[in-house]
Amino acid sequence: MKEKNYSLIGFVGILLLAYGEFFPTFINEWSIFILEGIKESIVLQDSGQLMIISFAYIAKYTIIFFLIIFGSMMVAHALSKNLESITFSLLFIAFSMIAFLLFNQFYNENFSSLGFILTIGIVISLQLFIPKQKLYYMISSIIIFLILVSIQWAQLIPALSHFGFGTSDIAVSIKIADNYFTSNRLFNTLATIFFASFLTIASILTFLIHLVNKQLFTVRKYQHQEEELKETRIALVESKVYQEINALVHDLKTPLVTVEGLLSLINMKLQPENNSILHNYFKRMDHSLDKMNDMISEILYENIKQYISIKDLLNYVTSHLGLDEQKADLEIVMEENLPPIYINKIRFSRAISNILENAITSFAGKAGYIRVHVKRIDRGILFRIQDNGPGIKTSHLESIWQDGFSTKNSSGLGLSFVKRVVENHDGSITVNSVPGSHTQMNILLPIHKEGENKVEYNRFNS
Amino acid sequence: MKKYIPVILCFFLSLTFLFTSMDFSTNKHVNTYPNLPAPIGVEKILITSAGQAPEGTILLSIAENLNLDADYRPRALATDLYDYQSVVIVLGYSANGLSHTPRSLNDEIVRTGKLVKEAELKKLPVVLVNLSGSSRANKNTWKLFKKAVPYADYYIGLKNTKHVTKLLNTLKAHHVPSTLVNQLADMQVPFNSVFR
Repeated sequence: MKEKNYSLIGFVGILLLAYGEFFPTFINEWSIFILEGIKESIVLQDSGQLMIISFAYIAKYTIIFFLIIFGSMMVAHALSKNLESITFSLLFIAFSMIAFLLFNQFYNENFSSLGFILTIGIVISLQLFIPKQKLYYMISSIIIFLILVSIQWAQLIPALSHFGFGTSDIAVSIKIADNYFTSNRLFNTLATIFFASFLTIASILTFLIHLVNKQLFTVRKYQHQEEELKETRIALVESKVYQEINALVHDLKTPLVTVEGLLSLINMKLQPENNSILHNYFKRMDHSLDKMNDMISEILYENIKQYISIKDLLNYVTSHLGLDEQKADLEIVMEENLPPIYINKIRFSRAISNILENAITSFAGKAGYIRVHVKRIDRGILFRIQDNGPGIKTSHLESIWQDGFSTKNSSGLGLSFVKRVVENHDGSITVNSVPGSHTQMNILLPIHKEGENKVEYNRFNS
Repeated sequence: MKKYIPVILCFFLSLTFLFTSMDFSTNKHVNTYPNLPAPIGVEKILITSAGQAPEGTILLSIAENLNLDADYRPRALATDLYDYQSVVIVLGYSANGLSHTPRSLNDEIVRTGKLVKEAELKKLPVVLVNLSGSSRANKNTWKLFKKAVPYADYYIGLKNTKHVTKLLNTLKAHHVPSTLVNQLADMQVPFNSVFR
């Protein structure tokens, strides 16, 4: 259930309780109508009129007890803060009993405690099956109303008088009048039918609501399971794709080594003179092969890193970014004299690309800006990437780093990859976003002194 | 299972109230006069209420069925007796009935007391009738009964009432003949015997 304003619920509950307690003083005319109606029906010996009066009696006391019971329920809810707790039920019993005893004391009505506690018992037992969701109070009010009408009719069954039912002032008058007219045959029949009917309706309604809720719960559960299954399937497919790419990249190494070896053999065989064109070609081919070898190693092993200037990195990233058909305005601002950073070029540039691509996608074809600001902070380099897209909901800020989280039906692996790469570089990443205004990603990378991790690099490169 | 504790508690309390409020007295066998051997009252009859229970009009209906000349004046005072030869008081305290009069319960007891005393002075027969039996057998009805019984000449009530022995002993102590009937409709015979 949503977070509730318990003070308001408690306040409304107290108001209803107070209104229920003082309700008879507001409806004096109603009470006179009932009393005069009983007298008149006796004088006229009119059982039909007595029946009408009994409806007026049922209506009056159903309203009064509805206000008392519903008010008590709200006060108990406000105090216990949990509709499913045993504390709520016990507080509900306590408040409604106190309100009932006060009512009996104020007006000397002599309502039987048996009838009232039985009403509360039925309300609580049916309430156990009512879903505690947003329509709880509306459903509860209907059930309470039906139970109250049913129990008020039970008060008018003369056969139950022997068991202590229907001891209230007006119920006694109605039953005595009925005894005089029909020796209680009329009310023993009709009141029993009404009592049983309303109680059955209340029970069936609760049962149906319970069943519908159960069905809805099952449907939601299946939907959730289906979504999870879909996500797992996508993750599995992507994982397989990554594995195949890795295998393919790994397989590239074998022909590369062959080319490297054959080139070395040709070089030995031809032995070109220094500074000749052929020697220059061999040198360039060697350099390209080394570069390709490094790239393959960086793709395959995330711990393989190299020193690279930030300018080169950002040039590499932007050269692979398709901005031509977008209305996005990319602005890059770099502090001067920034030291080179020690990174896995392929992976880190992919991470930066992911953030930029997310920003571009968020514009959804509309115009927007992306500002990349790189500056030095103490012993680190800060990459601040800001865009004026629709932003990220506050409730999603924690989830965006999780594998598979996506609001756009994508794989949901992009930002989790970014976080993993940044953390693998001993860095940290944070996000600030104001929905409807902007999103800002801050990546902080530590500065390594040149040569600090050379051993590691050489080991993987050899 | 824990969630059912309040429900079990409610039904346990209901059972407790059921046993404490069950009326076992109806099974007792009581012996009373079936009716008066000779009439003690004459018309015109004042039927009034002690306690303002609305079902007091039943007695007016019975009187009309018996073609007796009677008025039903539930709030009659001692000064109203000048026009009547017999007084019939219907016992039964009703909080709702009394709340629609300008009187409190104490005022009602005082009014009843003055009425029966005045009837004694005027040598008018006083008949007490209880139509509600156990339904209104509470301390307030008993107070009204106690106020009127020393001046009563006859008592008609229902067998289905609480503390029957105490009631009969009180009536015996004041030498009031009594008739207890099973049903309201059975009251016609003893009521008729008062006047014919």
